[in-house]
Parts: sequence; structure tokens; C-alpha cells
Amino acid sequence: MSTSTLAAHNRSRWERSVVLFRMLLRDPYATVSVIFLLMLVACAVFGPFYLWEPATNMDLGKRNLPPFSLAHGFLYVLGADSLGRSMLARIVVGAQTSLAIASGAVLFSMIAGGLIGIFAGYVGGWTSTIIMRLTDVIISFPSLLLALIVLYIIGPNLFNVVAILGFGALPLYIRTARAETLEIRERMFVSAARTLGVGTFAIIVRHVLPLVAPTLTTVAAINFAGVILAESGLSFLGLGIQPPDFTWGAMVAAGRQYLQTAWWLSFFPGFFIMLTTLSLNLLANWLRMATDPHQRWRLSIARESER
Amino acid sequence: MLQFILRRALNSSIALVGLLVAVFVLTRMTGDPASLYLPAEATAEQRAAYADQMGYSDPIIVQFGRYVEGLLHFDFGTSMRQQRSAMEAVMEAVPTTILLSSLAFSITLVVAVAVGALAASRPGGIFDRMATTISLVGASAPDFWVAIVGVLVFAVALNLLPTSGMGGPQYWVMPVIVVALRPTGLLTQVVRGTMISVLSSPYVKTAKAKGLGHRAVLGHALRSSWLPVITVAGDMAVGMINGSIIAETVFGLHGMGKVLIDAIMQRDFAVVQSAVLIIAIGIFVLNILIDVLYGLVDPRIRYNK
Amino acid sequence: MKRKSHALATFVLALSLIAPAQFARAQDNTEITIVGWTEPDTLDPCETAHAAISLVSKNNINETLIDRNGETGELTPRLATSWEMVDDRTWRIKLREGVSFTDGAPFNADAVVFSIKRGMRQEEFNCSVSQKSFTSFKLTAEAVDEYTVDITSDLPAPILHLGFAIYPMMSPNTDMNTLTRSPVGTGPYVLKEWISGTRIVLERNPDYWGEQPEISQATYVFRNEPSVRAAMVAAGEADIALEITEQDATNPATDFAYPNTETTWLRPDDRFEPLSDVRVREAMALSIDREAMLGTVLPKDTRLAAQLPGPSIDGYNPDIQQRPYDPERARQLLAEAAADGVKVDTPIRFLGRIGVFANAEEVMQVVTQMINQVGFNVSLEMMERARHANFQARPFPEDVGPNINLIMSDNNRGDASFGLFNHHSKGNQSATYTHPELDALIDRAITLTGKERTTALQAVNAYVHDHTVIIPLFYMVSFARVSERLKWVPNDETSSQLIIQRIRFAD
Repeated sequence: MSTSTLAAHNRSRWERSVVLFRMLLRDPYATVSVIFLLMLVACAVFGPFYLWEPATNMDLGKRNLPPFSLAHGFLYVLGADSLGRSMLARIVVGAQTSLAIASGAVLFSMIAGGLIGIFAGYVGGWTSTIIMRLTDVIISFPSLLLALIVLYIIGPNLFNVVAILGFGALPLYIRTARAETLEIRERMFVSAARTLGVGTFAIIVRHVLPLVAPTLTTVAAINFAGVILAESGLSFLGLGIQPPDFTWGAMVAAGRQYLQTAWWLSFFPGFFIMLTTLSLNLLANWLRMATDPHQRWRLSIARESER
Repeated sequence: MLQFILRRALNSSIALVGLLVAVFVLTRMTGDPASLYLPAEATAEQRAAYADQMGYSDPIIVQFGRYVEGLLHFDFGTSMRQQRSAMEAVMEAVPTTILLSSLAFSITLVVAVAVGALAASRPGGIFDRMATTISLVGASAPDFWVAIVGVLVFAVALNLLPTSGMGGPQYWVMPVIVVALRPTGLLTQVVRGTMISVLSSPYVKTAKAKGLGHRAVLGHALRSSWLPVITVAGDMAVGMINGSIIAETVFGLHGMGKVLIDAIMQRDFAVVQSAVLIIAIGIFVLNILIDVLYGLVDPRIRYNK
Repeated sequence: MKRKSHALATFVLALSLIAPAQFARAQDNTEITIVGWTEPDTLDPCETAHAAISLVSKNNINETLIDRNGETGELTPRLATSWEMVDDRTWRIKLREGVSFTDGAPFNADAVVFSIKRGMRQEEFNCSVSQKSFTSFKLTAEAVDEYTVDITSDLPAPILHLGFAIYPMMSPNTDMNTLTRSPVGTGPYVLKEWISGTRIVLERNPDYWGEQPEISQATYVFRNEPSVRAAMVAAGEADIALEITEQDATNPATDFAYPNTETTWLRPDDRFEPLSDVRVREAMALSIDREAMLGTVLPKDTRLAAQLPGPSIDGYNPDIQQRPYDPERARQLLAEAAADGVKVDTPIRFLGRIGVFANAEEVMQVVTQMINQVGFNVSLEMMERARHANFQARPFPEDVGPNINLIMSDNNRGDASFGLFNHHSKGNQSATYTHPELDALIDRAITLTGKERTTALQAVNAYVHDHTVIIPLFYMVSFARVSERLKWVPNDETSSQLIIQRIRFAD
């Protein structure tokens, strides 16, 4: 272990944040990703306030306007959709719904699934077995059937879509968390803590959780895109968010009949889905490096050589 | 080990029953099949007559009792639409889905492990950056979009592959790619991430310092990475059964996914139940296999279940 | 019926997977391939009320007594040579001689009696095509002599014969109690093979009573995605692709638009304020700029509709004028209603069914915006088919509130009375209004015949228009792609029947 890491441990919280920030700057890809994600969040928060009109006002005269021309103003630089609405505006405003759905679903399944999985892994025995069998039931219950049931009985609103997608992703987190916990549980320091009489809850929170969290975060970053795409698949089958509400995924699904005549309808929202996924993953990679004591050196080594 | 498998099978059977009850009850709350089947002019009496004929107008308990009684004779119900055995309608589609999922899964496993391991051996390097970007792009593309673009480009414009349908190997190229694309991208990332962690752990550094060759190090690292990789790969195998729905729909393959979605949309209860039953059995068997694999790979886990 | 042939079916399917593809390219002989959107669940002639089934079966395998020309309404003999009313409930039909079913059974009066009997069994067995052909009439058939049969209805039935252009004739050996997957008919084609999920193959019937058709074998395959269907013809894998979208229809040599006998209309629920006020309903009708939608969200061949039945239907009223697009007048009417205390800005739900026609979601969003621009407060709710069905037919949900509903219905049976269920407020399925005068007009019209009937039905349609009972929008079109191998264009029957004997090869 390098001296810089040991030294890092002893610094104050503020100093640690600065160190973290510097480590971020060391990785240009992660830096760009963070900037992009912050811009995205800004769009999600402020976008509807400024761009609601151009995003929802239909104008059949501008139907399927091609992109890359400023003839109709900056708003139409990415073209217009099949009802003449500005693609740029719709992507900015759509960020809100897309990110809300994906964040809601991922946060829910990560927290709930992670805790359940850790619990199952640590406690073992019948509890673990019952939890795992329930997880099997969730996996085998076709997500489309679930979507239809919920949508039919309650209706296709935002919250229900979040619930369906979050519920569907639970097994992933439960099993990942459980698998990691099973492995961690057998490690020396955990056995030591148990011998010393530390309670189950304390062990889980102080020892297991910090080790499982990075894996879960990595899984979450990947799952985020999966949720956006699953929502798109629901829209493709007619079960997701319905017009006049829209998400990036729904835009891609709606644009599929225009692939030959107006490719930009599906392309741009799909492109932004991809950029978001990419950013989250690059950020997740950086995060793993920064929080893993064995790899932190990659992000601080330049600093050492500056001394 | 045998005792473990038997115990697991028993647990899974209980879960299976729970699942079937849930599906049985919940599907019957999603609307009236008669309104989807009979012409719009049909009167309320005609719809009620249809419901009586098809047996779903009785109280749920009665219907469930009838269903269980049928199960004892291996009668899984009759498809409302096709008027033949529901299980027969489902069984016809099983080989297609098994073939599609197995092919896709094999490709995913091979490609992901190879690319992920190579990328992890030099993190930050050119191959790593390229592999990460390509795998993430593949993982972010909506599958129905890829499918339709594939048809337009490879079948219509370039005439290299058939548009859709079933037949010889060339008919499977696009569907398999569509089903495997996202899982491959994701699994590559997982393999890469895990292997990076393992490769920077002390014991690997020691081994390298002692002069162990690059290949051998990689091999050792691979073996230690199994756990999270198996978890994610296992989930993907399961997910492929569900994920083949879109590929089957677009390419006209007669698989379980297509049968299930059609039955769901038509509210053909018996077919939905039979399809869920078969899929669930498949998933449970797969999970047992995965757990056995865990036990084999990591002895510490085996005896602490 | 339970059959434990799972293993066999699975084995057969597995074989067909390994077998080399024989249908990769369209055959260059006298065989064709047709690609439809969804596979029929059964080929039993009783189910030919469903388009997916009648496309394969109607007048290919099982024939009707009479042929109806969709464009002119003209009726010509097929299995029947003549037909006439002998009293107000009975039609006497003379049958063609020398015809037999492909299982050897003769086609005669007994066969017709059997076919009617099978269709009338409503308790044990549902034969939905009899509902489509004869609505709720109960029929009995009696053989007068070997080639003459009397068909009697329980109620006066002056247009019963139109049902014979829809109702198929079935072999007397058909099972009375279950749907068959091996239909037997008198038609120019027989079912050669049906591999579930893959293809249905019809081949020429060598013993057909009429002229042998050019096409020796027709294979039906099915793909959900319209662009894939269109791609198959472009790639030479199929000869006819049904129901492609306008966006796919880019090649004028192979792509054709045709009217599909469907009418799209808005149904205002006038049990609720403000839709109970006729001025409000008229304002809504005036606020929709239908012309702007032609050539944009709807194909340019779509026609404006001012009444439910199309021009070839008996009862179509040529004097009814199209409502103009007049938002100023709409606002005026709303102001008048508001001045009388009608709350014109009450929130109204616009209930739409997902996928009801191509681009339906876009059309509904545009219509919503247009209506709201004159001062309404309408919000769009798109819902899946089964959920929408709750709002379309009785019993309606209690708590639905003020609503309008976008409905698409077809009328290809020749008489406006078939669509009247949408207007009659009592005892029918989808009326959400009460107009006793309208009911009286309808009740009278359906008992009449000939010219009197036509005039009376026209009066019904005029009433509906004048009181804006419904808001008709468009006569819809569909698109098909036809390979240049064939010399055939789709017509308005093509959405529900594809008569292969009428398809010729290009020379």
C-alpha cells in the first residue's frame, strides 16, 4: 500500500473531497461524463419550464422536418418529429420523464434489492431460502404480463411504469448482493468481528455494506440504461407511457415506422440514451477505481510524480 | 450435493405453485376475452354466453379447482382462440426459443469473457477504450430498433440475409445477434470490471512479481472472477428467454415469447398459464444449475447454505 | 379437445427448423406467397368474421352462396344461382348443381341446412360469423328439393340475403361441437398444410366446379411488423404484403392504396355536460381541420366522411354536406352555450385505443390540440384494447365522466342498418345518447324494402348529421404491396378477403 493512500485516510473530510475531485480530473473520460450528466440533470429540472411549448405544440406544416439546417431556427436544428414538434425541445423535456422513471426504478431496486440480498446472504438458512424462492417467482413472472396487469387495472401513468420496471429489476440486485455477501461473510475480519460480539446489524452496515455498495453501484449504472430500454420495449408493444406523455424510449418506439423516411425520429433519442449509458458507465468505472484501495494509485500517481 | 439439489427442487416447486396461483388470479382481472374476440356488435348476452362456454364466468375458486383437477390428468386447459390443447400450442414453440436462447447465450459468454479479459489486462489502453465503447453502444441500442434496421440494411438493401422467418442457418443470424447484443455488451463490462479488481489484488501482484507469465495470470484471474460473472450471466440466460420476445415478433419466429405475448394480448388464459409454467420450470432448473455452479466454484459457499 | 400429441408436434417443428429453407425466395412458377399481419387461430369457417381468418379461408376454401362487389354493391351468384323472398321472413334459394365438397360430400340443400344449423348453435358452440352475417336473427333452413332451400328468419328480414355474401358453406361432415383445423369446402383451393407459427399452404382443388385458377399454390406467412412485411416483397420473399404503412409505400409500381370500408368517427357521450348540448357537439365538429390531416398524419387518399356508411352502402345520403373547418363559428357556438349556463370548459376525457389504425396516436394528438384551440378542455387517454372495450360497449363504467371516444368501424355488408347499432339508443351496444325520434326512424326503416327502405335510411343518416349525434371523420385507406410478378391490385374487400382465383400473373 502506498504511503499516499495511508495518508489520505488520515485527512479531514474537506481534504478528502478535494482529493476525490482531483482524482476525477485525472480521468478525462469520467470528467466529461460528469459534465454531461450534470447538464442532463439541468435539462431534466429546467427543461420543461423553458421548452414545454416547442416540445408539445403540434404543427403539421413542419412534420418530419429534416435536421442539420437552421432555416427554421435553432430549435429545429435536430429536425422535427412526425407532428412537427422540435426534436431538440422534446429531447430536453423528455429527459425529465426518462431520467425520473429510470432513477426511480433503479434507486428502488438497488436499495430494496441490495438490502434484501445482503440480509439473505448474511443470515442464510430458511430466511435466505424463502427470499431466493420469492426472487425466482419474480423472475419467472413475465414482466410483460405484469405490465399489462398493472396498466390494465390502474392505468398507464408514470408511477406505475416505475413500479413495474423497478420490481422487474429487483432480482438482479438481490442476487448480486447476496452472492457478494456470501463471499464477504467468510472473510477473516467478519469472523473476527463476530467473535468480538459485534451485532448482525452493525456488521452488515459497517462492514458488509461498504464492500457490496461499489458492485451494486456498477450494476446500477448498467441497469439504468436497461431500464430506459425496457421502457422503450414496453412502448414498442403498446404497454408503456402513452401519448401525450413521452420519454426517450417512447420516442424511439414511435419513430420506428419512419426509419426509411425520417431516421432522425428514432436516432436522436436513441443517441442520447446511448450517451447517458456511456457516461454512467465511465463514471462507474472511475468510481470503482477511486473507491478500491488497490487501484486508487492509478488516479493519484501523477500527483506523486509532481512532488 | 444430491441432497442439496433435491431440497432446492422441492423449494422451487413450492415457488412454482405460488407463481401459478398468482398468474391464474391476476390474468383474470385484466379484462374480458369476449370483448376482444366477438365482433363489436355482439350484445352483452352474447358476451356472457361466450364467457360461460369458455368457463371463465364462474367464481375464481371454481375455475381454479377445475384447473387443478385437469392438472392431475395432465390437461393444462384449452386455448380459447385455437380450441385445442393449450400446452400443445406452447410446446410447439419451445424448440425455437431454446435454440435461439442457447445460441445467443453461447455467443455472449464466449465474446464477453474473451473481450472483457483482454480489456482488463490493460485498463485504459486502446483496446480497452475501444472495447468499452463498442460494448456500451451495443448495450444501449434498443433491440427492436436494431432488428428493424438490420432487416432494412442486410435483407432489403444488401440482400445478404433473408428478412425473417424460419429455416436454415442464415435465418438465425440476425435474430441471434439481436438477442445477444445487449447481454454481450453488459457481460463484457462485468467481466472487465471484476477482472480489473482481481488483477490489482495483492496476491496477483505477488504472482506477477514472482514471474508468473501474463497468460497464466490472466487464467488465474479469470477463475477468481467467476462469482459475479456467473451471477450476471445467469440472470442474462434467464432474461434471454423473456428478451427473445421482440426478436421473435419482428422476425416471425414461432417461439415462447411470441406465443406468450399473443396470448396475453388476447387474454387466452390457458395459454398464458401454460407458457408461464414452462418458462418458470426452465428458469427454476437454470437457477438450480447456477447454484450448483456457485458451490463448485467456491467451496466456502457450498457448505454454508 | 385434449390431444396428447405434444411430442409429435414438437418433433415435427424441430424437423422443420432443420429442413433447408424452401421459401427463401418467391417461387418462379405458378406459386405465390402472401404475408399477413397475424396468423389465424383456426381455419374453421365459423370464425371468418375475423379478418385474419377470412383472408385465408373465404371464397378460397369455403365459399359463400352469393358474391358481393364491394365497390358497386352488386350481387352475383356463386354457390347459389338465384334467390328471392317468398314471404317477409323467408328466402328461397336455388343452388348450383354438380358441386361437391372436397371430402366427397355433395353440395345440396341438405348441406346448406347443415351449415345454417351449425351456425345457429349459440349455447354449446360459438359460430361468430353467423352473428356478423345475420346479426341477431334466428334462422332455420329447410330443403324444398335437392337444389332448393328455404331459409326462414324469426323476424322480418328483407336484407337477409346480404348475409349470404358472408356466410360460408360447410361440409356436412364437419364436427358440430368444436372448431376444426382442417376445414373442408367447395372452393377453388384446399388446405394442403398448416405448420402452426410458420405457414399455411393452399393448393388448387382439381375438382373445383368453376374455372381452374392460374395460381396453383398459395403460401401464407405472418409478420407483426409492417416494415418487415413490406421488406419481404421488396426482397422477393413474398408476392403480396398486406397492411403496410404509408411510410413503407414508397414504390408506385408495387404499392397501392385502397379504401378499406372502415369509417373513423368520434362518439361524444351526451349523457354528460357539456356534450349534452347540441351546440357544443357541433362546435367540436367544426373545430377539427380534417383537410390538414390528409397527406400528413393520414394518407392523402383518405376521404372525408360526413356520415357513417360509405357511398356504396344502401342508405348513404348523397345530400349530406361535409362540415367545414370553421373555428370561429365553433367559438361562437361555445360562447352561446356558455351564455346559457353550459360549462363548456368541463374537462373531457378523450378515450383512444392504441393501434386502432396506423398513425392513430398521432391523429388523436392532433385532434386533441385542434379541439382545445377553440376553447375545450380535452385530455387524451390512450389505452390498450381490452381496457378501451369497456368504454366502447355496454355496460359502461359508472364513473367515466364527460368523454369522447374515437371509434373505427366497418361497413362492408351493403346496408346501412348494419351500422345502425351505433345510432340506436335502445337495446344496442355502443350508444351513449338518447334520441327517441332517431330510434323511431330506425325502427321504421329496418322493416321496409326497396326504394322506401333506402329513403328511410337516408333520413336516419340526415338526422344523425343534423343533430351531431356522432362526429364522422374519415373513410380510411390501407396499403398493400404487390410484386410485379402479379397483375392484381387490391380493392376495398382486400382487408377482409383475398380471393386468390381472381389473381393473375403479369405476362
